[in-house]
Amino acid sequence: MRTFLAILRDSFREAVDGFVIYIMLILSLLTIAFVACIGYQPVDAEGHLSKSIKNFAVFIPDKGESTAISAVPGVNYEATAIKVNGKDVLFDLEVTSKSDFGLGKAPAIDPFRTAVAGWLKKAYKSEKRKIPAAVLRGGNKGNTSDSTLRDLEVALAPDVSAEEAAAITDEQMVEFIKNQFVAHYGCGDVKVRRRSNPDAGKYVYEVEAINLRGSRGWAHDVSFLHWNIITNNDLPLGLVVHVIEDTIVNGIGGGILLLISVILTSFFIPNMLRKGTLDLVVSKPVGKVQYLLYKYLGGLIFITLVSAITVGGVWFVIGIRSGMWDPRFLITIPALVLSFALLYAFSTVIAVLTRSAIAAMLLTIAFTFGLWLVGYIKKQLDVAKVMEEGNLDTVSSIFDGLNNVLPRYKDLDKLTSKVTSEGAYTPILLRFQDMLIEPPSYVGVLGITFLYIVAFLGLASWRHSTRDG
Amino acid sequence: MAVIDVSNLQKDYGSLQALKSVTLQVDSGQIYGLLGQNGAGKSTMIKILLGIVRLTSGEANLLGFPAGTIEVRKRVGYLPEDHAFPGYHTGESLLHFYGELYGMNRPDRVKRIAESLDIVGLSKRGSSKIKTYSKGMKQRLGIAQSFFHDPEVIFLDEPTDGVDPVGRKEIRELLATLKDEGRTIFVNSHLLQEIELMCDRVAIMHKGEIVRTGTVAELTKTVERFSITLAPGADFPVAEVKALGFKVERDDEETHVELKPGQSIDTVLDLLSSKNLRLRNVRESKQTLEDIFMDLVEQAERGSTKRGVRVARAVGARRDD
Ligand SMILES: Nc1ncnc2c1ncn2[C@@H]1O[C@H](COP(=O)(O)OP(=O)(O)OP(=O)(O)O)[C@@H](O)[C@H]1O
Ligand SMILES: [Mg+2]
Repeated sequence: MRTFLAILRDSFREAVDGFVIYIMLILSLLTIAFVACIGYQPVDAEGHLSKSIKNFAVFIPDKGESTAISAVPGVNYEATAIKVNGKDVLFDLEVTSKSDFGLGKAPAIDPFRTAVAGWLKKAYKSEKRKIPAAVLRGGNKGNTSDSTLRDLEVALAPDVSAEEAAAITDEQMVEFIKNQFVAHYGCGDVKVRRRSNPDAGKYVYEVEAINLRGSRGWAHDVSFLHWNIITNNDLPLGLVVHVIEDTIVNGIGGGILLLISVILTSFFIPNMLRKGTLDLVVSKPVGKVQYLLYKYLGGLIFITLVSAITVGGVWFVIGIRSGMWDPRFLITIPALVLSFALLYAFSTVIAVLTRSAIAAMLLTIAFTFGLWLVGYIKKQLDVAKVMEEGNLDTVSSIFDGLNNVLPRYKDLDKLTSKVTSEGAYTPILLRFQDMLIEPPSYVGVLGITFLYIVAFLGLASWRHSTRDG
Repeated sequence: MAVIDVSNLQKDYGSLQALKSVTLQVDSGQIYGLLGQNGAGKSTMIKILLGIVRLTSGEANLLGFPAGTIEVRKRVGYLPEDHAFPGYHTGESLLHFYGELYGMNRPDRVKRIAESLDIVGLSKRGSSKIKTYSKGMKQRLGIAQSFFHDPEVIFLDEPTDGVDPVGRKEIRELLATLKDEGRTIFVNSHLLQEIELMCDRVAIMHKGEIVRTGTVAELTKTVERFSITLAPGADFPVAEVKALGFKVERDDEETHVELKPGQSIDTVLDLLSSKNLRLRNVRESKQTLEDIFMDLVEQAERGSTKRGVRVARAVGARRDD
C-alpha cells in the first residue's frame, strides 16, 4: 500500500510538473463557468399549466411503476383559478369524465374511475408489439414489412370491470392525481383535496403543488448570462438540463478531456521506461509489472480527479442554477474514467512495445477515432435501415459485427446518457425515450470494455516483464 | 559467506553472448572492482544480480538469495550507469520517493536524506528540481540514493562518471567510509586508475568472461621486473645473466630483467660489479593495473583482430579524463 501511494504521488508529481495539467484545470474551470452562466426561468403558470395539465390523460400503469404508458379516452383535465405563489402553484383541477367524450372509444362506465383502476393494477396488461419504427420517428415512408418493425412495449386498454371501477375510492383517486404530478412534472410535494361534487361526471380537486414551477417537467426559458436564448417554449427543465449534461459535459467536454488526458499521459509510461530511469526504480523492492500497473493506476486516478472536479463542479452549478440535484449525473465520472481506462491501457501497450511517447499518443488518438467512427457509422446505418434507404444489409452487418467485437466506446456513451436522463427526465418522458432508443446492454458494454482493458494490460505486462532492461 | 556468488552465469541477448560463463565470489566488507572494456558485460552482470535483466543460465546469488528477489533488493543499493532521474523531482523528493519504495518511515527518511545529501555535498541544492542539476550533481545524487537507505551491498556502475577530480577523491573517501561501516561495495569501471586506487580486490572481465581475479597488489605484483641502464659503452652480459636463470630482454637503452619466485636482483647486480660494469640507473618497474589489463587484453586478442587492442588502449588512455 505504501509502495502504491508512493508511486501514485510520483505519477502525480510528474503530471503536475508540465503545463498540460494547468491547461486541463483551466478547461475544467471554463466548462464549469460556462455551465454556471446558463440560467433557467420557469415559464408563467397560466398558459403552461392549462396546456400541460391535459397530458394527465396519459398515465403509467402499475401505480407508475410500469415501463409502459396508457390512456383511457373520455377523461379531460382542466386547470382553473390558478394562483401562483413563487414556485408554488395553487389551482382547481377539474376532471371531466364522460363516456361520450374524446376521440377514442371510451369505456361505458366512468372513464376516470376506469383510468384509476387501470393505474392501480399490478399486473397491468402490457405486451410487446411490432410497430414500424419509421412511424415512431414521425416519418411517413415506413411500411409494415417485418424488417422495419421494432419491439415496443405497449400497454393495452385497461381491462377493468365495472365492479372494479365502481370500487375505486376517493383516496385512490387522490393518490392517482398526486402520482400524475410525479409522472408528468417530477413534482412530489402536492396537496390534493376533493371538493364536494358539483355535478355528475365531474371531479374537482383543490391542488397545492409545492415548487411545481421549479420541477423538472415544467417548461423553462433558458438564458446565457443576461441574454435570453430560448423563450416561450414547452421544453421541460429536465430536458434542457440533460442536453447540457449530455452534450456539453459528457459529449464535448468529455471528448476534450479524454483527448488531453491521452496526450498528457502518453508520456508517463515511455518516460518511465527510458533507459536509465527504469533501472533506478526496478532495482528498488518493486516488481517490474507491479510498477507498470501502479503507474497505469496512477494515471487513472489522476484523470479521475480531473473528471470528478469537472463533472462535480458542473453538477454543483447546475444544482444551484436549476434546483436539479439528481446525483445520477455524477455517473459521468466513472463513465469517463472507464473510457479513459480503455484508452490508457491501449496507450500503455503501445508505450511498452515502442517506448515512444509520440507513437503512444498518435496511435491512441487513432484508436479512439477508429472506435468512434465504427460507433458513428453503425448509428447512421441503423437510421438508414429504419428509413429503408437502399439495401445496406452487408455493410450494416459488418459494422454491427465490428461494434460487437470492439470495445463499446460509443455504447458506453449511450449508457451514460441513459442513466443521466433518468436523473433528469420526468417518468413520462423516460417512457417515451425508452420507446425510441434501444439501450445497449450493460453486460455487453462493460464486459467487453473490461476484457479489452485486461487484455491490453496483460499484453503490456507480459512484454514488459520479459524485456531486458 | 560470499555476499555475491555467481557461477557459470550466462546471458544471451538474442544471438549476442554478453556473459559467457562467469564465476565470481565477493566476500563481505570489501570494495570489489570489476574492470573491463566497453561492452565486456560488466553492467549486464550487475543488472542480473539486481533482477533488472534475466539470466539465461547459471546461478547468481546475492546475500544468499537468488538474484532479483524483491526482499533482497531492500538490502541493496544501486547506481546505474547512464541514469536519468525524473526531472520533475527535487533531490529530496526523489530520495523520499525511493525511501518509500524501500519501506522507510518518514522520520527515518528525513534524517537519512539530510545526512546523505550533506555527505555528497548537495544539501544546498536538495530542494531544487533535478532538471536544474549539472551532470556531476546528478552523479552525486545518484551516489546518495545508492546508500541513503543503509544497504548491506552497494553496486556502483561507473560512479565517478562526470565528476571532477576533487569530487572523485571525495567519492573514493566516501566509499572507504562506507566500507568501514561494514558494507560491501561492488564497483564497475573501465577507469583503471580509479579501480586501482579504491578497490581491495579486482576482477577483470573481457568479452563476457572473467580473465583474472585477485587483490590489486597480487595482480600488479605478479612479476618483479627491473630495468637496468649501464654506463655508456658498457655491454650488458646477457648470456651470463641468462645462465644464472633470469629472463632478460633488451631494447635500445635498457635491459629488462624479470625475476622468478625466489630470485633476487642482487645476484645480477653482484655479477655486474664483479665485471666492473658501471651502473647508471636501476629501477623496479612495478606493473600498473593498466599494464596487466593491456597484457590480458592482448593475450585474449592474440590471433584475432587487432582492433580490440587499440580499443583497449584507448580506454586505458582515458583514465585521466
Ligand atoms: N538490452 C540489451 N539488448 C541487447 N544487447 C545488450 C543489451 N544490453 C547490453 N547488451 C550488449 O551486451 C554486451 C555487454 O553490455 P554491458 O552493458 O554489460 O557492457 P559493459 O561492460 O557495461 O560496457 P560499458 O563499459 O560500455 O558500460 C554489449 O555487447 C551490449 O551491446
Ligand atoms: Mg556498463
